[in-house]
Amino acid sequence: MSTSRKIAGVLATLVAATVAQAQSATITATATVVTPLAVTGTAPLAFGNVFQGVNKTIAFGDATSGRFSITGFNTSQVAMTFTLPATLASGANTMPINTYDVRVNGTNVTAGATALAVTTGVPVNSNLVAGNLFVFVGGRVQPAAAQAQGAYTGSIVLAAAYTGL
Amino acid sequence: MHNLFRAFASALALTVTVNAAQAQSASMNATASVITPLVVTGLAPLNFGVVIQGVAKTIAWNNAASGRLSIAGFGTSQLALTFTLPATLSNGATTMPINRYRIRGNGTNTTAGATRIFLTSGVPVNRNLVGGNLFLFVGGRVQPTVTQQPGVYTASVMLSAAYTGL
Repeated sequence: MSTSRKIAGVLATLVAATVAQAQSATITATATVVTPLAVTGTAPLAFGNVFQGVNKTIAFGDATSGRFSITGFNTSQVAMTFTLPATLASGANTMPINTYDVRVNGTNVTAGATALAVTTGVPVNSNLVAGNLFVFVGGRVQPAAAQAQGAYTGSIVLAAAYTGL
Repeated sequence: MHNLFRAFASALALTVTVNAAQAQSASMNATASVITPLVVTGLAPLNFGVVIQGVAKTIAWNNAASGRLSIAGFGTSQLALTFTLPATLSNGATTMPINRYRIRGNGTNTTAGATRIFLTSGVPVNRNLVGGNLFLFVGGRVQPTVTQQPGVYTASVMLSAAYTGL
């Protein structure tokens, strides 16, 4: 056997050994597609007429409590961030609003709704129920004894986002 | 007579000398280094989590949810890395595009300092082990359509590695 043939044989052996050592592994790529969230304000938190110097509370279960609805995917967890005003305004005049009572339910009834410990601007998580979540908002206004007369308003904002869970 | 013998002896000596001068030899070493086999391991999936219809989502290579693979082998040997990168994720018969893969490698299992590997699915690219190790981080993007069917979509990302001999 010539020298060149021997070298070729050795190279062939090395190549064969290299190919034999090829190893592989796989990882999975996964994604869960969901329908977009829809958040709707369905009813205002209406205190109606209030009297100077007399606090007034609207409970979450009252007919005039504020209402939101959230629709999304199945039982996905959503992070809800409420922006809760500290005052209502009537022009330059303001009136305190506080003691919010926020509850959620999978159906659009207050019976069986569970309380959410809500701080304005801080996300709180809850799960959809069959693609729905209904939010009920109560609160209290505190007109001063010399509160200027007029219609006072403020905006309560609910932002919701999937947490991925 | 004595002189004749000496002449014959010289002739023999000359013949022997000539023969010895024609014999040639050399030697060379045959060497081989037996090295440890490669071990390729999938450490973590590339997890896009919740994806909203019509909204593309990217997981960066250094995101906690990026895909992770490791290779263990010999020293600083050079490897040929071949990735098989799916173009779609599947949910039964329904598919969703996945693209814009971003892959980086590092000698340690940290994303800091990892260097980008430019690659095409199925085409080998060479990289060296560092201290017998190479860690790979895989990011990418999915593109659900606005009517993408809700559900869980999956696919396999495969890495094959082989010594190049260098």
